[in-house]
Amino acid sequence: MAVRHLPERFIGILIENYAGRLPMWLAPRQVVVASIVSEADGFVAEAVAALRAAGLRADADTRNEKINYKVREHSLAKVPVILAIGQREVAERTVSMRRLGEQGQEVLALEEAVARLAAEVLPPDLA
Amino acid sequence: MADGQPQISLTFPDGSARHYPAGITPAEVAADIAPSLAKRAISAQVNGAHWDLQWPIPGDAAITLNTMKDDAPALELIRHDLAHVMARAVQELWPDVKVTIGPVIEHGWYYDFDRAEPFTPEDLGRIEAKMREIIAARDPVLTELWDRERAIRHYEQTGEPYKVELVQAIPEGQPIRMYWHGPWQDLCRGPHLQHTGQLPADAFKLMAVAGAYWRGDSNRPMLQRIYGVGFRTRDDLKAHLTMLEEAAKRDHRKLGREMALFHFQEEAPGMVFWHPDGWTIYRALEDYMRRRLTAAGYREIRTPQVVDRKLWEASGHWDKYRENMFITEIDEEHANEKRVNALKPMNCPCHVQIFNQGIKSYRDLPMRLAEFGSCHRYEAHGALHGLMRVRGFTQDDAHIFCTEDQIEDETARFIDLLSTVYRDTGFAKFDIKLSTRPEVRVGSDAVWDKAEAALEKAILKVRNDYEVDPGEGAFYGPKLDFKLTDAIGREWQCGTFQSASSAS
Repeated sequence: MAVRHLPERFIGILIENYAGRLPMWLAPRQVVVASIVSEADGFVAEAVAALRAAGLRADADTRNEKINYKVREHSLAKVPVILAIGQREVAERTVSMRRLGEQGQEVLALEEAVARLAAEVLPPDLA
Repeated sequence: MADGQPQISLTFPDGSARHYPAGITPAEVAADIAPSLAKRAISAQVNGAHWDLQWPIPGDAAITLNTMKDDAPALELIRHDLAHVMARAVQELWPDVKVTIGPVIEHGWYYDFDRAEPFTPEDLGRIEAKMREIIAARDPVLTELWDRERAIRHYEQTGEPYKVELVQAIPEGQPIRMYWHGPWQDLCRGPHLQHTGQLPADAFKLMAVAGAYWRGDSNRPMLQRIYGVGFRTRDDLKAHLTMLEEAAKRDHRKLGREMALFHFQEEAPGMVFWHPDGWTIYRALEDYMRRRLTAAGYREIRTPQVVDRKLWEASGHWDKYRENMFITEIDEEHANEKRVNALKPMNCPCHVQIFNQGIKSYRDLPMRLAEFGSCHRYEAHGALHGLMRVRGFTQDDAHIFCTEDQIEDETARFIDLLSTVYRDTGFAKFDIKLSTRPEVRVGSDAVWDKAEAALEKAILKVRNDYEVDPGEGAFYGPKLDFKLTDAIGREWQCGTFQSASSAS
């Protein structure tokens, strides 16, 4: 007996089903950590390192652009989670978490954000 | 009713029967039951066949009278009558246009016309307006059976060469049925509605014009095909148009570009260039599938992509499938020997080689092998569609070698595995279709009985419902197809499970 499944086609179907907003475990970039001010760059790098160490696909965005511009760009690219870091976040070692398609943001400690997201990105068979 | 005229008995869905003279039409039956039904009726089912209200019923039969409330016949008639009304509208607007054929397709219909000038978007608007006039006129639909000579003479006189050819292609002895929508006539098998006023004037739309060769033959004239969609209500049409808009927004080729996931280019049509983000998705999915397969007892293997034609000759591909294979020639032994290879179009024959090497005894069964094998198939350029239809692709392919007694259990385990995969990837709803023995096949009926029963029982272990597609199995065994329904209600053919008990 033979069983056939075509991954390329299945990915095409997944992209259309989710309109590009893939579930966390399939999203190519799961988290972008974006700086609000250049003074935050160091803490952004620390956050990205912590996320990657916890198994997440995370990237930094420390370009000299307004935070709204960054958020819009990553939302268009369907990145499910954006962590914004400004002066206050650096001082308090927190991040402002925004989720794709949702209004508002949640401020939480970096460690807590990492722990929570690490659980969310687990594939369904490992969760 | 005259004495001595043969009587027939018609049985209705509620089990009651009525007697009528032979040759009575469903329209007359409806009128006998109630004048309001005679008005509302659109067609009938006579012994299961879709029957025009005007067609006589020759003998005893089970009959159901259809109204617009009956989904399948209503949509078929709406779309089919709209095709005729559209062709009439076109010929009333441009009398020189030659008509050809106009079948019903999913969501609507098309009709192919021979016209020197191209149809413009403005023309489509004019045709729609003319169609609404024809619907408002409530022109009766009439039908007659003609003999061949009369039909050919008629079409020669009216200057419709394509219709002459169609009449000539109808096998000798088969009736030639003519239909009229008002004064406009067409050759057609039917059935049709009672009059054009039964069509919903606000539930159709002409969508597009495309080129199409007469009879699909590139040596014959190029025609213009107008596509339309038709529904029962304006709301249904609106829902369909919204779905199309939504589908365009979700088009994976557009999103693939915007999200920088992959691209295609002319130097490798139908072969994916995966970019880092796209390949990340691919890998995440493959890693997941690999874990699921391992947990379900599959062993992963890897087999060659370039394989000598001898193996393809033995597998039958060289004979039956060569046109779809990428073939490579190589000089072996300093050009002393020319060796012809083909890129594998499927993993199957390679997996059999491993099985042939490895099996020691029946105790080794079931043997479950899986491969994420790179395969290539030549597909016509026009058939390619983003990631959905490609030339170079992976077959996440598994083979289960087992005894006949193990088929049912192994099939159930596989359906369970696939259900899990679909649930995990967010598809709450999927359908299973069982394709049974085709007319041309190998193996005895007893073997087929057993194979089909095993698959049926396996499905029933996991769920209660499935469709049957009679005669659509492969010549060597029945198969299961899995169809997913996506977030906007579209169905996608996905996994396949092929049983081959009668051949291997």
